[in-house]
Amino acid sequence: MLSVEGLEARYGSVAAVKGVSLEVGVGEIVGVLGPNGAGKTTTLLSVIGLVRPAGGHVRFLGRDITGLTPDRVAAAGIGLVPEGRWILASMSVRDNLLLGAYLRQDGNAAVAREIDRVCEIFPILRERQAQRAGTLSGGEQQMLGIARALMSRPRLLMLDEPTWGLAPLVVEEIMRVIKRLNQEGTTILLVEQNARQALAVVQRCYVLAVGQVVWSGTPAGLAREPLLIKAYLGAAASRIR
Amino acid sequence: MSTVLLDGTEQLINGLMYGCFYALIGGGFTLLFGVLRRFNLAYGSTIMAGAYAGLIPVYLFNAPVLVLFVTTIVVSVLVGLLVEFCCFRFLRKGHELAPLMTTIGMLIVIDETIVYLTDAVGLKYPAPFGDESLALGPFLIRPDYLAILVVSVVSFSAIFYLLYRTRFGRAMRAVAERPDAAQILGVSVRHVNVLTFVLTSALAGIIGFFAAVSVGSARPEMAAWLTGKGLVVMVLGGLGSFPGAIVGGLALGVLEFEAVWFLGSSYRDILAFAILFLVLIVRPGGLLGTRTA
Repeated sequence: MLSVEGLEARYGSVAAVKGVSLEVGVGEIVGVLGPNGAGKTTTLLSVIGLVRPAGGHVRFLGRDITGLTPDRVAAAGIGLVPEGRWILASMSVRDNLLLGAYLRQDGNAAVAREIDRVCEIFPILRERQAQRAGTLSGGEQQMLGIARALMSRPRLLMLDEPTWGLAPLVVEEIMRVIKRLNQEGTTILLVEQNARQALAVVQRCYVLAVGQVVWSGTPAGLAREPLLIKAYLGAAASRIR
Repeated sequence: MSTVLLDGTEQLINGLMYGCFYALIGGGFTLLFGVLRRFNLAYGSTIMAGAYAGLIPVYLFNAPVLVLFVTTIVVSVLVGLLVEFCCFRFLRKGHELAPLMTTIGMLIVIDETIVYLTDAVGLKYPAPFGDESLALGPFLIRPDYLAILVVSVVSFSAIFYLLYRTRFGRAMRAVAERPDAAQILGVSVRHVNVLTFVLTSALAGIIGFFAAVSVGSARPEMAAWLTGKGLVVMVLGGLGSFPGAIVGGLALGVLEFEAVWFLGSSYRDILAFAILFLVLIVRPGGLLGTRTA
């Protein structure tokens, strides 16, 4: 579905991604793990088009989308829940959700049904609809970020550190939702520093370090690589079994 | 009622009506700044170009005022699109100050073109609302100011409806707040930018018409005067705050008219900048501003 080949991206003269290749198949849930500065976020931003790749190709559903502007990548069917969620704080929760449906052409009734559907996934959003999004708690904002991305019914949902800085109970809920979304048919690319959480839900994963893929395989396979875990995934992952 | 109170009230009413005009100018500057986060210093010239162009059908065919009004708006929109294309479209991300240079350049080009074509002589503007003051109880009111009031209320209502009740308005507000967030949701920033130029330039047409009508002529000094007032109102209300522009415009209108009456008309223009100075010291964020600039 998504295929990234030899992707390179730089900020000024600093190379952040140096030839990353990865594949996500239809219906899969794939993880991208790695320490700070490994190029995980830059890879996602290059796919969505906010960072212009310096080299390599991004293909989605057989189409070359390298270098397209983000609005056209979104229109192609890729949703992104960015790191830090990028909630429109001054706007209402409902307006945030409606913006998520900006590209939909199928009428107000369908959009209203979609709002209903995402509010079923995150019931707290239903009662908060009229509230300013900036007044939500961190966990609620993360839920809104995911719900907003779902409003356009993306074929591929990319999540960047969706559990960062959240309370353990909220982390559990978010991970449960991600798993459920995947079971209901959404293909998912999950970027996480919290390797333990991610490995519990992903089918395959890539480990990135200093802008390159250093390992790829299944969570079970990764559990047999103690050196790799120690070097790149740190203390949080040391309890992976 | 004492004369002072009576006169003061009359000036208050006139000031509020003329303040609507300032609010329109500030609103145009603010809307563009809010969405693009960049100053368009050619806005005053856009207004003036529309006001001058509106006279063409009048001089050539003796066209009615309605045609003048429509021409003013159409030409302002065209000039606005030219400004977007020449001064904004090809500038890279991250060069927020570059438009200060490009739009000043455009301001000079437009101003000098008009000066060249008209020999810098003011052109007489029709007075569609008559010269006779209207009596409202004990107060005398200028009919063109009343028209400004009506048009401003209609314009502001339309803009508020657009911003807060439509899909495009939501996209505009999203781009104003976080362009990258708007983009990943499918909003084309270029699309929004161009339509913002169309919207603010149409507003410029309306402003140009009333600016020339209230003075009685289209003059080359208009651009500097409009730019000055627009920037004062914009900063007064709070950079990028649209309701702030309305409050700032009304406040400036009232203060100017009271100053003219009580201090004399030579104080009128210095007052705007004195107020600006004061606000920047006491409340640097502007009257309704939240952002620290």
